[in-house]
Amino acid sequence: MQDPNEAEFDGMPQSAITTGVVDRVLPIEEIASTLVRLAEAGRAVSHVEKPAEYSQPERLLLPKVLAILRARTERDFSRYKVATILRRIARRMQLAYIDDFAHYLDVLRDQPDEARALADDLLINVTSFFRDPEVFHKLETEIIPKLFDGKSGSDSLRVWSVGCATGEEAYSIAMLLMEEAARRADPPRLQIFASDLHKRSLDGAREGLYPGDIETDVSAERLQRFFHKESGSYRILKEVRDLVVFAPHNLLGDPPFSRLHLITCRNLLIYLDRSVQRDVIDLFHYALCPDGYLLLGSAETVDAAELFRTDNKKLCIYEKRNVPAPEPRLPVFPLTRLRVHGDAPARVRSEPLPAAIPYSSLHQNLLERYAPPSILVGPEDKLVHLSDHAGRYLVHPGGELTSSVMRLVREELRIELQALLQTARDRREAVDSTPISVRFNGHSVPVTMHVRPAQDMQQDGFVLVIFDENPSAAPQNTTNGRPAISLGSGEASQRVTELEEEVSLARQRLQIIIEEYETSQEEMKAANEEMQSTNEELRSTMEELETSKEELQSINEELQTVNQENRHKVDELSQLSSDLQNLLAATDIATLFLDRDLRIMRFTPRLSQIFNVRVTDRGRPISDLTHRLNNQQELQKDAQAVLDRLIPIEKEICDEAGRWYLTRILPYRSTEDRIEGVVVTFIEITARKEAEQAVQISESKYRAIFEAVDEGFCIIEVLFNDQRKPYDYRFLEMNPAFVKQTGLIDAQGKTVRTMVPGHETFWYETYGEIARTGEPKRFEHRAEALGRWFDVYAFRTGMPEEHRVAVVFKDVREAKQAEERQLLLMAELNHRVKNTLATVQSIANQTLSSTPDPEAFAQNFQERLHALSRAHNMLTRRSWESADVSEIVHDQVYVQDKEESIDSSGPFAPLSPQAAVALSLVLHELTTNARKYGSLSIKEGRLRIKWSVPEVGKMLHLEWTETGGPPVQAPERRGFGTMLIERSLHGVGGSAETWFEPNGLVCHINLPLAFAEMEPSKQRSVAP
Amino acid sequence: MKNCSVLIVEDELLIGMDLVSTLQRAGFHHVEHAATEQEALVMLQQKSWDLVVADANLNGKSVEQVVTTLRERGLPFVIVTGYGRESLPEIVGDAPVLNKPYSHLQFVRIVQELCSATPENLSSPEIS
Repeated sequence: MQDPNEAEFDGMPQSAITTGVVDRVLPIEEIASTLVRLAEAGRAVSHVEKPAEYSQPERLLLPKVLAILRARTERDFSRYKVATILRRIARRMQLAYIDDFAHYLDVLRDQPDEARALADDLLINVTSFFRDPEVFHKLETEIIPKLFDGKSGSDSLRVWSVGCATGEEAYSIAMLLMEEAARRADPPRLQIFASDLHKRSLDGAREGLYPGDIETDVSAERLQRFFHKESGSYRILKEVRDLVVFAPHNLLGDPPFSRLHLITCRNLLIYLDRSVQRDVIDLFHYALCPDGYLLLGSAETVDAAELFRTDNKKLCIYEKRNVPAPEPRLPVFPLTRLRVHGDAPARVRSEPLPAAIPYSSLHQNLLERYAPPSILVGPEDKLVHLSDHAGRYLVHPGGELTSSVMRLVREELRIELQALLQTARDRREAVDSTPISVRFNGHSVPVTMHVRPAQDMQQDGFVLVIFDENPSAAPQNTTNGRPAISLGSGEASQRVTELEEEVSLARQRLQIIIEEYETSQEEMKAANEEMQSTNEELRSTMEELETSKEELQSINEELQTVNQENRHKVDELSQLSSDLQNLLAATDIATLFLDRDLRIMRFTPRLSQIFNVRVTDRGRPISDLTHRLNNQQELQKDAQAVLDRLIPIEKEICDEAGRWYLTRILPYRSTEDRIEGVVVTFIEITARKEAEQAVQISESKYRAIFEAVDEGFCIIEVLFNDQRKPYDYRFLEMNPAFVKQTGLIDAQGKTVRTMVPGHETFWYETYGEIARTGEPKRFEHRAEALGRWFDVYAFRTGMPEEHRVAVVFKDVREAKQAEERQLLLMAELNHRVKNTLATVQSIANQTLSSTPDPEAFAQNFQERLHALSRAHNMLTRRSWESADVSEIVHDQVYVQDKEESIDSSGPFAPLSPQAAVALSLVLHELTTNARKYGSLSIKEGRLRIKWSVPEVGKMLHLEWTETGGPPVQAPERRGFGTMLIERSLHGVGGSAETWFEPNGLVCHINLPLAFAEMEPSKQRSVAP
Repeated sequence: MKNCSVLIVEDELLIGMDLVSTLQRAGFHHVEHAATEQEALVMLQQKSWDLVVADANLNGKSVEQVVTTLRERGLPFVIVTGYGRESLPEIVGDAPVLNKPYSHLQFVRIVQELCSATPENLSSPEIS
């Protein structure tokens, strides 16, 4: 039986378990294997089944088994039939997978559960509602109405159902009683006792819940009236339930219920030994009220005809005779616990108290005393009761003790009595005998026997024999040839003598005949006894048969249950199968089942579109079939691979028509977890495939663009803090240009705060707002920490709650820097122009103050402006970055490209624009002086300009040496020119010193080089 | 007025000379010229001045250091610049500014106004 804990619907197994016939409750997966083992054990044990083969050791071991059972369960089965017990033990051995009896004995000894199971098994429970309808019909129509008759509401009607098992019989009777009670105006109170040894059955009976199939036993009307339907089962109504008292009761051990009107004890006696049966019958006789009925099983009979009258032999209904039990005793409890334990004190039976003798008894006593002696003869001529002095007429012959009246009664009376009894019984009327002379202590006394049959039906067969001893009545014939009448005449006397001889002869003959008769009677009796014993054997056999029938029925019922279960399973299976069919048809999934040899076992209709398969193709190998797949071999190979490795394969395949299928090949596992083949499913995915390809093409197109564009692209997830303020964002996806545009490597999945500490809050807030509002934004903003400036277009993407923002951006730092530089240049230019103008202003002022002559002023001013202009030209050529000394010298000193009188040389030495301008003006003044007054004023004069960079990258040292000029003459007044020469380099960190050597003017100039000091300041100017 | 001593801080010699001679012609006897920041700081250290005229850009260097010193001493000053007031360092504040190219007349008037103020008021010159 399936374990109900495991079953989806536990109702069925649950109710099966409550019937008490279930041997094992197992999880479903163990059932199959268990059945196999049981079958194997069954084969081993089956030879034991035949009682003839019970070996001697088994019979010897049996008492041990019974002893164990008694110790474990306090139940004594010693008086059960041996054959039954052995059969049951064989069954238990099969269930326990044991084939050796001695071994089973060990198991029984060691495992209390096994002992209990065996004990339960010995109590066979076969019962049903209204079992044997004829019997119940009889009960309903005759017996029960009779029981109700003469009873009123103050009386009670008590019934005992012995061995009630799961209570069907008790409830059946309860129903009949209730129906009868409903027909009566003043019905008696009803009380039904139902007893059984088997406690689990009793529990089931108390529950009163029966499976739906009782419909076959119980009429629809009764089902309606007495049951309540409960999820396919029937529950007995409380009204009925309340009538029945269920009690565990050992018929062989416990005191019986009493004052009962009906006892049903069906198919219980057959399990008991004959001697025990007799005791039980006594017990029932004791328990029943007068006029009570006993209902037995079909193979059971009451041996004690003097206790019960057979009401209906076929239906086994017996009526109690209102006679006392042969020994007025309490019923024997053959197997009481006291006897089992042995050490208990002997049962103390309280002597009945001398009760006040009722008048009827007094009358009885006096009658017995003064009335003629009498004896009561039961059926079969058994002497059952004697009056006070009846012993006088009885003589017990030698030999076995007997109660047969024919053997006990005095010889003289025997023949007559036999005839009289026969007549009285046959005719049911009183018969009297003629006086018979009986010899008591040498005196002959005439005795008349009056035989009176019982008139009551119940006492059918009982006969009263009264011995009337009347000395006055002359015996009709005399014995022993003593003349009773004296005859006078001799002839007559002669005749008398002849007659007497004749009589004597006849008497002798008669005596011989009687003796012969007695002998034949003895023989008859012996034959009769033989017959009786044969009959006894027959009954035993019948009981055996009945037992077997019971067992068969129990097995049959089990089989029926199994069969029903099976049918149910089949129904379920077919339902499941049709569900599956529909499912497969509905899903339109082509499915193919292949066996281990890759032969087609089963497939769905949709499959024929791929393979050319018909139903008749089942069993053909898959390779035989032409099919429309592009690569037929591949499928076969894959299926084989799945079989070999048991790893499912999933593939997309294409057929000739260009349709795509998703093919899955899985191993087919049977419920026993064996691999029986493979299952192949084909799911059409053409549309998906096409869409996929379209998407792929479009995606690869866009992906290429995405990858190729110069703009950085990324998708970020904006992170909000508890106050719902954006505080960070995470890079989810980016294109290759991202790295170029940001300089961030391997940013995926990282947050910007970890990657770019110090990133402006602007970015979080802006992206946060876009994520929140969904409004796209275009903006430019610096990212100082990255040293970049981004032009950004950002928009929300995905679901709003994902806070995702797609960002397309470009680093515009260079453009920005160019712009800044341009602005700077403009400002610088403005500044320079203004400065230059200021310089020009100063030159004009200074020139004016030193040369009042307008013509000279114009000349000087023009030349100085030219010098300035040349310096500017040169610087412009150099983008106002720096100027080389040699260039300045060339520009300011030389009039022509080459002049013989001038010798200039020196290394490359860059100067800052300011220094260059200052040096240009200084060299211009020096040259002007030299050409006007100095060495260049005459042909022979020479000018040498040498410069060097004594300290690399730091200072320029330039020496201006004039030679061969006119005699030098220091000027009286330091003019503007001199001042300009000597001091104008001061402002750019340089110095100039002039003096007059005899050969001409000498000037030493020191000037810082460009990028020496200027470098840091220049860098600073780049920063915005 | 004639005793008012003025220091001209100007890296370009020509302009510096021009400024000096302009003031001298206007009757200021104590006018001197410093061409570099270093020179200016030294001269401020050595002598006491009534007024300082400083170029905002000293050979590429900001005049900031010099102005800081002037603020510390409470000396009145005039800034000469070709860039405009907005490009000056913050510390200049609302001190008078002379834009290049300047008119001599305007320059002299500013200097005269600042010098005519009482020594007590020199630290907070009111320029209309």
